[in-house]
Amino acid sequence: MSGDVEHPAQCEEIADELTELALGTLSGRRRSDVLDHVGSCQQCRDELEKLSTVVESLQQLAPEVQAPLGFELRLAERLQGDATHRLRRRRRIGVLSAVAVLLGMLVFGLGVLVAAGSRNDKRQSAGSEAVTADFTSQGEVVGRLFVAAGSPGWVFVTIDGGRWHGTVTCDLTFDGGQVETVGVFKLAGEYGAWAAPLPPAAGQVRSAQLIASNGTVVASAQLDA
Amino acid sequence: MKKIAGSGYQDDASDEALLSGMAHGDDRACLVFVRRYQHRLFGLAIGIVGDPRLAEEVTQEAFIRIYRHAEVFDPRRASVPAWALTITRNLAIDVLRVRRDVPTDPDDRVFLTLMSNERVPQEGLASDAIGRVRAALADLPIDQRRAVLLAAMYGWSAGEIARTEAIPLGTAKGRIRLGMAKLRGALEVEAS
Repeated sequence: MSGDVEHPAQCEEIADELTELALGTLSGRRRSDVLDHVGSCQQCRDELEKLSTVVESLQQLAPEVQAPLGFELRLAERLQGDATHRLRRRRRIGVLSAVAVLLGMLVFGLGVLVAAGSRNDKRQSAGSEAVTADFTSQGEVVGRLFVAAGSPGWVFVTIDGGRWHGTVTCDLTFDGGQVETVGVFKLAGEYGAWAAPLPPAAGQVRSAQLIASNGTVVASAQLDA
Repeated sequence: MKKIAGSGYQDDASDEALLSGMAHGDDRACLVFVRRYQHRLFGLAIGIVGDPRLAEEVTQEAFIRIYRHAEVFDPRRASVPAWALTITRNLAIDVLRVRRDVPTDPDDRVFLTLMSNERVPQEGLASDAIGRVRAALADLPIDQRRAVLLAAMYGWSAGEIARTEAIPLGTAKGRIRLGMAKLRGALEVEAS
């Protein structure tokens, strides 16, 4: 390595720690110091590699022992759960990314429209902002509410890891106090993302509620006045 | 990569091929890998933690980590068995550290077997290199052999060895270093 600098005295000084580094028993500041030295010393890197080979060989001396009955089955269940979790995460990330893109496009589009319109109508520019709030359930954040005012306005909901399943109704409360149902949505597993147009001339959204089919409010979001 | 069309990986597929299959969610590759390594990983885990239930937990967690990281395994840095055993060892040592503040003296069969200086051929050794290390270990003075085993198999630091063996820290460090240097030398000489 071209940037390597030889420090024979330092190499000798860290010889004990180099062995401990290979053994995985060095910690804290000394570990950091030795790693710094190894990073700039080819000789010590080579030595570390040889010592690591010895450690790996020692670990392989442990004899095989028959795993307990049912080991494979129990492991398969755990691996299955892990695989499902990973798949859900991928789906969730995909869905939420798509929603984010959609939201961005719509808000951008609304902004362009409103900006164009604002030359003639100042009232519309006041409605060009997107406001957001967390959906919470039992004190925990479980999703996000986006409201993009405009003509028409749009509401976007993302749910991430809620503890309920099935169909939910999304009710919005407006600043005049009226409540409107904007849609009935289905959760895919514990995750979901939806968009729906706001009712015309409904005023500003103050809050949103997700209501399960049995009437229970499972999550709510409150927008700042 | 040895594959049977439509039925997954064969039992004699290479470790690397199995890891590749696992990284792509192939159940058959995962099963073959687990069957190939479960007794080795469990053997190491129970040798370190002692308790069979805890050893199973450690071994299962090791397989889950292997499964999660199969796609980033780098064969240039370690062999598959070395990688899998290192994961298992580190997990087992973590468990021991959580369970106790002061290490106790290992009295398990693995430790006693390895502490023995008999050069009895050991079945199931993965390669000649492992056999050479086993022989070189048997040739070490007993205090060095003990220090090296406590550090390499049980993750004891030099400080822990010094306290437990009632020796100065410098002595513990010296025993580990000298023992490891002799083992490294034995591997080099035999390989050349």
